Amino acid sequence: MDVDSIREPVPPLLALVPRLRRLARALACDAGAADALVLKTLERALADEEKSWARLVRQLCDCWSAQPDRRRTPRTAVDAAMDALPAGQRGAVALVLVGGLRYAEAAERLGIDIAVLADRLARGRRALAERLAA
Amino acid sequence: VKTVGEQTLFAFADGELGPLRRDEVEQALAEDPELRARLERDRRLRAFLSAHYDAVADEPVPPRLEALVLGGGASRSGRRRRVLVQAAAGLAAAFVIAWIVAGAL
Repeated sequence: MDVDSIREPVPPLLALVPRLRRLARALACDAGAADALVLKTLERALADEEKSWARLVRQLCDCWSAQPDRRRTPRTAVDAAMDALPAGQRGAVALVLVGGLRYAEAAERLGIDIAVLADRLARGRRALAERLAA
Repeated sequence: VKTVGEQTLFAFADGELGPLRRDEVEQALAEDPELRARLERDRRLRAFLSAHYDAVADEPVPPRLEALVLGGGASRSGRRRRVLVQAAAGLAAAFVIAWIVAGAL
């Protein structure tokens, strides 16, 4: 037994997986690609001592940023609309509108300036509204 | 009343404005039905996105992911560590046997 298993987090990592899959889906636009992203994120999280939601989001963003446009087949209207966005806009929309992150947090996770985040978020939002006729 | 730009309206919807600018937007909203309609369109978009992604969160966790988490990292690095530990244990056992055998001779 190593030290990691004694410091079992509350709530356990498993309880955070549905929320992680939700956010990953917004970034990846496809169920299979999203779960591949979640798998990679969880592998990192398990090797990490800290297992908080904030840390998971950071790891998810890192995994996604390394390969933001991996092959995918969107099957729903929302997935297709998100898929049509440039990766930068999709990241901003996913983190703020789906993940509920503050602008400052989202900008930090994506490694961009907050003004750039606000710009990409606005463009992404406009494009989604037009596409989904919401 | 100042005109409210797109980014400002979104920042208002996202709760990102400070109290002064928030008051300005609220005042503009009270006086401008077109602005209210824009805000309402954005609210609908957010609700639509939420509903779509909430459905993903409600799905059962795929067994592959559940097994990974419950296995506490049966990941590549975890397996590699276990193989190393087993190899070290095997080597230690071989030394002990060799020592006993050497002692018996």
